[in-house]
Amino acid sequence: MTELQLRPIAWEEVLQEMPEQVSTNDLRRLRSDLVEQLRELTVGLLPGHEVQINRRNLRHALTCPASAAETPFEPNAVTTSRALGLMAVEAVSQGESLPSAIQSSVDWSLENAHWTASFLVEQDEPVRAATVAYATSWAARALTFVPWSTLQPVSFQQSTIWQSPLGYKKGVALVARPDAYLGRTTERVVLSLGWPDAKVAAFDALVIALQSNSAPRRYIIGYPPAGSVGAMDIDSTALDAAIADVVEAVGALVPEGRGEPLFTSPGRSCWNCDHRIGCADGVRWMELQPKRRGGLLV
Amino acid sequence: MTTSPPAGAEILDLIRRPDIERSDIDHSIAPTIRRELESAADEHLPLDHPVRINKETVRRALRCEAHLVAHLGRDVEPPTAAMIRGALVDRLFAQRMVGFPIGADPVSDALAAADASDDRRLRALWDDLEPSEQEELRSSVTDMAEKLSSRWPPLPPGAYPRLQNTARIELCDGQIILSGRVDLALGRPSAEKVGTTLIDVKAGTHRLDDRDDAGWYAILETLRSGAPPFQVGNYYVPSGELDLKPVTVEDLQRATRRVADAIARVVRIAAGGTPRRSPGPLCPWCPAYEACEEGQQHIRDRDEATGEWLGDLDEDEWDDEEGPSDD
Repeated sequence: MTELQLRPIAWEEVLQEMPEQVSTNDLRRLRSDLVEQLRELTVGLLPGHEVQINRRNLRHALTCPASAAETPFEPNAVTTSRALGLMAVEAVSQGESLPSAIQSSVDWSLENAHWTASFLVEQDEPVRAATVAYATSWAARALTFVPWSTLQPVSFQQSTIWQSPLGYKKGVALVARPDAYLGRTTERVVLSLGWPDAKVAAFDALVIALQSNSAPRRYIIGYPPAGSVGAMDIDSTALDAAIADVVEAVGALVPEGRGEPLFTSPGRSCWNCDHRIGCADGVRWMELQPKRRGGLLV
Repeated sequence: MTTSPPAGAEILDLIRRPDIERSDIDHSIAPTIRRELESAADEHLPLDHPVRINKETVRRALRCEAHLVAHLGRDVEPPTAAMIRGALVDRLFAQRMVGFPIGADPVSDALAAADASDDRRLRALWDDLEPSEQEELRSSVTDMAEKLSSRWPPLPPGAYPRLQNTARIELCDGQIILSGRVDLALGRPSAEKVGTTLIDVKAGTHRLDDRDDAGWYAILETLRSGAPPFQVGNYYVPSGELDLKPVTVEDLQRATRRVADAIARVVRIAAGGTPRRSPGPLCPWCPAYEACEEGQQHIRDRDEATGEWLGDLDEDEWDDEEGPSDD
């Protein structure tokens, strides 16, 4: 199996030496492979149940399915600040000032019942201030980290991209969350700001390819805390690997949709798992590990 | 002579420093720092587990390696009232930086802001305080909130404030991770000139370590962005002092040597080396003091020397009482 990797890239190279785009025929074959495998996996799902794979639960599903157990999505400070921040980045790139752009994002979200509105509504002043501070910081990081003016034209992606390979509400939904498209439409370079995970890059590229019938040529992940920029050229091999991940992840999460428990696979991810407190296997595994702080044995 | 702390436009001037020309970015600095830090660890690599180093690790490793290990090994102690006050003030500072007024009950504002950010710990810590401790903190936080409100001006639209700005730098293929979070980053470098200002907000007074911590943040920012920051420093809320210093090449070199020294120590311990002991005046506050013969000996020696010196002083005073010599 191909090990997916991001290679370091300089911003000025992001739109240079573009790889060939995956052909329509190859994309058709990839889609057919995916659909065939997912059909087999999803037999016996409870009515109405849909296995959802996104960047948040993909890695969990591949390492310890129980850690990817479905939790209801509720907008919070992190998700809301990113959404508002991205809207503000787009407004700033069109000439608005950052403080005004953040305020406009908040107003627009509330007026248009955007999904962030449920978090914003009824906020009193100190809570709104905290939300604005987070969103401003997100936008300021994105504005100071990415040289937007050298990557024109930029098309911001303000909503998630959903793709149901088996049909709408037919058991599987794949959700991509890119932040922007860079360069000319024919080049389709995708940009995402976040943790540099090659599996996420390939997964998002696959979802975009399936949804638009046109594969992006390159996927870029920028991670401001490290100042790192990583690239993955999207070819059939990368998309094949993404399909293998999706099939494995769906297979790992399907038991939940049949009313069965998800199996646990304790390991290093236990330390950061949301479910670790109630997970007997995870607790046992952690108790057996040498105690470390900052990586040093204590 | 006392001078009033900066306020309003004076604060913005101290951040912008229109009197100082921004220096050119030397693009060789970041790779040089990285090389120096990585070579400090070289001797003991590879490690079987990555080590994570923050400003506390650096400080403790340089003070005494045994102290670092002892500190890591002890049970996590509940944060002190001063730490809770610092966390509350950080919340209010964030509120102020994005132009929101601070209300009449700043503690409630700060706790509500923490709740909304999914930081439930701050409220739990607050609730665990005795009523008298709460009262004392409420009073000092309210005082600091008033000072913040009266002194900090709205930031200009081009300030690009990044609150709680995180840096995470991997060295030696991820075997060493340097991490830090500065309270506020402002501005940005241009293609040619430095331009970022990093400010850590303090709810207390000056400490000897503050300047070293500023150097640590300068190193992280240089490695992160490839450009050194323009200025780094601290804002002391109680006194209102904004202690910013433009970053020079010499500052970066000094900070690099300090961090490299700490990395060498931490990595040697991670590779199985015995932590070295460096007894000093702070030994009695070390969690390992009771079992540390070197530390106890150091303190005994110090006490004896102090006793002798005081004895000499007594004799001098006796001599003085005899009055000036006629010679």
